[in-house]
Amino acid sequence: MGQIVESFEKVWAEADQSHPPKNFVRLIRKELEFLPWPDRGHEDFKYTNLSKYLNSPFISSKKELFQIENDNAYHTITFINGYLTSKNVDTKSIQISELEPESHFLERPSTQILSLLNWAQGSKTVHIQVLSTCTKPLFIQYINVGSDSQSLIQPRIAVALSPHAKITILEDTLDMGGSGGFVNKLFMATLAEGSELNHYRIQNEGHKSTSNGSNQVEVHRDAIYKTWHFNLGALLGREASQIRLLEEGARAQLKGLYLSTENRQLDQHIEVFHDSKNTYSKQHFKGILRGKSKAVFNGRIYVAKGASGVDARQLNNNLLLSSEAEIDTKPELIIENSDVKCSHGATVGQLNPDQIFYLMARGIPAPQAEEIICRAFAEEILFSIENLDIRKKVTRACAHVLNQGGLYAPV
Amino acid sequence: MFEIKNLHAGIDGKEVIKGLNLTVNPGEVHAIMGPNGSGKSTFSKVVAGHADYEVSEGQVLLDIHFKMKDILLLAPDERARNGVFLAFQYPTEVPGVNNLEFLRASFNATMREQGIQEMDATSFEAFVLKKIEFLGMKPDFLARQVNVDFSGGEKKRNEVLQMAVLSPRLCILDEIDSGLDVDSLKAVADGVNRLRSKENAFILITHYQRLLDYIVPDKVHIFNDGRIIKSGGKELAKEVETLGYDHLIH
Repeated sequence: MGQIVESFEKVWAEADQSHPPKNFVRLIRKELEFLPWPDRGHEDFKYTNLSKYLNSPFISSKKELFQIENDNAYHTITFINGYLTSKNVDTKSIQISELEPESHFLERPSTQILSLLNWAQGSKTVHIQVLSTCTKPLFIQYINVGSDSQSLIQPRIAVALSPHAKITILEDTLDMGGSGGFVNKLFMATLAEGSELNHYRIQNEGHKSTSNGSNQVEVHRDAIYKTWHFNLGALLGREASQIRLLEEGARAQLKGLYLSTENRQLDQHIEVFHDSKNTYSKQHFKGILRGKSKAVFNGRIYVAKGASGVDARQLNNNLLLSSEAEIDTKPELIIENSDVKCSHGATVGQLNPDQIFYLMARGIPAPQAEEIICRAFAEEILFSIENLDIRKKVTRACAHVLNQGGLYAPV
Repeated sequence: MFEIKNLHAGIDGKEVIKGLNLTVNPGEVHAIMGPNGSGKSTFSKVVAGHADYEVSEGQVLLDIHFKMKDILLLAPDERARNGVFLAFQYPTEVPGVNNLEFLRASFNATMREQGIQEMDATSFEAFVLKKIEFLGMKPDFLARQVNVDFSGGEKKRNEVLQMAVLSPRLCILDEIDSGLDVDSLKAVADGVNRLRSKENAFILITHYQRLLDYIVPDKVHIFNDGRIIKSGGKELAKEVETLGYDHLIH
């Protein structure tokens, strides 16, 4: 197995020419220097052979510029090939700047390998400050065009919500190239006292891409973080969340849907840290798997010493539509306290033949009957989307996968 | 319109229907009665096309576009779109699927088959509400999930509603009376009676004469050991009621 550095040194050298790396970036690269790709012995990669997807030398994605039509229902910021290209934000509640990479945005930044790789590029962080409540949602749009199969796209966003500010953020991808590459997004957020973030993420990369979305959130006193992950695209689509409930009254609600088809693999890694007493979290993830696809659900809940009065729930349901599909679901509870309420559950099922027969006996063809039942399974998550326009967007994206058996699938 | 010729069928390698013959004409109501295990429900599943049942011999012919065709060669959904309707003894619950949307998917699938324009959501809802009114039902059925948390009576009424929406030509009602109190039974029977016409036919599968007080059959057949052992008019049902099946079988 090759070293990580071999795949990335070319990109780093290129980046350094226009933007000499800061000390922080040099330190991270040094940390990565002798590391091999994590193997199956690493708990997070037990079911995912990362080197299979990332073991080729990457090149920087090209900078492209073109006009995008903006939807007035949203404030919009656009990244093309991972570079911030336009901001269409007409409120003083949101301030956007680009900052040198630095470590101290989060109190406890992640040391996960893929996050470190994002930092190691040395590019600037897009910093979004939400100073007060913003009624119009913020749409973070990633557009990937004409990407090379070895191109590397690594946007990095840090969102800071001021005390009592509220906002809805939607992240979505439009892949126009479809030739693959590695997309390694890093999204960080810190929620100050009493603030509220509704965060929707649609992972909809092209079918040949490898995608990782790291999502690191710190929730302070009485703040509420709600997120919905839709893991739909890519050959390997990995979503990794680390949510820290740092102070009393902090809450997190995580919902997700993954629709895996053909020979693809979709991973969800969720870690919720109950660092303080009286913190609350709820997770519900559902998956539908077709063909020879794979999915992983790895949900970990930590309850720290002294964190009494914690309520943490986790549920994962899966629907396997083929005997060759594989789901690895692994709920974990690490509790260092007795005064807590924790629950977790996982189910894996197949289509109920009685239900299919019932629909067919009413004239509905088998493929449509299957689709109706899958949709019903997914709707439990879809109907929890509070913003109706976003619900429509997500439903359309999910229907696309369910109907056609996968993006860019041969007809 | 519908004819079964020397049908032999079974499940798990065991023959249950052993040489069944039956002819049904448009406008007729037939009742099939018989003791437990005589093959009544198997007959309904075989006609609807349930995959667990195997047919070893015989034909099930239905008039499709003025030609008698063997529907055993068709998939269950094709049979349904060509006018065969099985009202289930135990209607299946389909969680998460809205009853109105289910009805529309079903109705439009049949329309497509017949080359008729499909209905959009708004016109379909208006169409269904008329059917609901016609059957004396409550519109709240439509917003619920298919058969989920329905009482026994509601499930059976939902089957009648589906029948009203799809206007099938051959309706097989598998123990539509089971698990119903008298009021529900009357309501269901009343719905069926309203749907009777010169163009369609009904086969009622039942244990009891009671249903036949409300839906009066033209012909009654007594089933035993996978075939019809006796046919007659509605008076045959009364005979069963007073003398029992044993009297007819032996």
